[in-house]
Amino acid sequence: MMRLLVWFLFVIVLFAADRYIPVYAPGLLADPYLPYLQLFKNIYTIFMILGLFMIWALYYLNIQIITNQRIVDIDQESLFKHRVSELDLVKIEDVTSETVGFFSTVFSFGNVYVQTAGTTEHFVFYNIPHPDKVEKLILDLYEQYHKLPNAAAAAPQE
Amino acid sequence: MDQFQNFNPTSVIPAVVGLIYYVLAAGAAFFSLSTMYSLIKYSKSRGLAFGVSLAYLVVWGALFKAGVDILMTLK
Repeated sequence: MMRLLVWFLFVIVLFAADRYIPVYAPGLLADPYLPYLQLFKNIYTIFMILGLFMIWALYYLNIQIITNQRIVDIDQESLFKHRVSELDLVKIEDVTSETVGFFSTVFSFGNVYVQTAGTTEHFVFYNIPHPDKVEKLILDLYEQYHKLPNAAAAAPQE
Repeated sequence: MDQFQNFNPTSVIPAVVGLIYYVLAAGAAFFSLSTMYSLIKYSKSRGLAFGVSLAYLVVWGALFKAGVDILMTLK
């Protein structure tokens, strides 16, 4: 979301340049400078399209899967950083959802923290839609899982 | 010696600008290909990944060609 907002700022800069250059710097539209201005706009647009493509790819490759057995978190944090984490429902100790800030509240997105038993690192789902519903879903699945007859046998003995 | 005396610094500006343009375009191409690679490798729908990558390549190629055309007009 934040990345997309930054991208929109760059789009606004491009439109503002188109609007205000003829008003405040008409000399740039004369012959010796015009091709340079067009070239600058061209490379600017190339990087803007690239930015949009990268933002969409990173968004599309970030996946959270919740089943009645485990939680899978697939993170594509950058172009060269891909991480897949799995967590059995039986290891869950605590689930917290968090919505912080104006945009998160208005557009209903936020973080979900899944605390696990022992030294295992906790799970975090960053900036997912409807974090409160996801938290409830995980807790419901956790309860369902513990009601299964074989769940007690599958649980680790401390 | 005459060459140095008659050297006009403004005459190298198009070449320098062209060099900068190609370096920036090469950087953009590198990140584009990296994004496409990650997208196709990790995507759960290869068809969608290929389709989006192809559409992106077409747009990118058109923009790059337009840039090269402008570069040719620089004096």
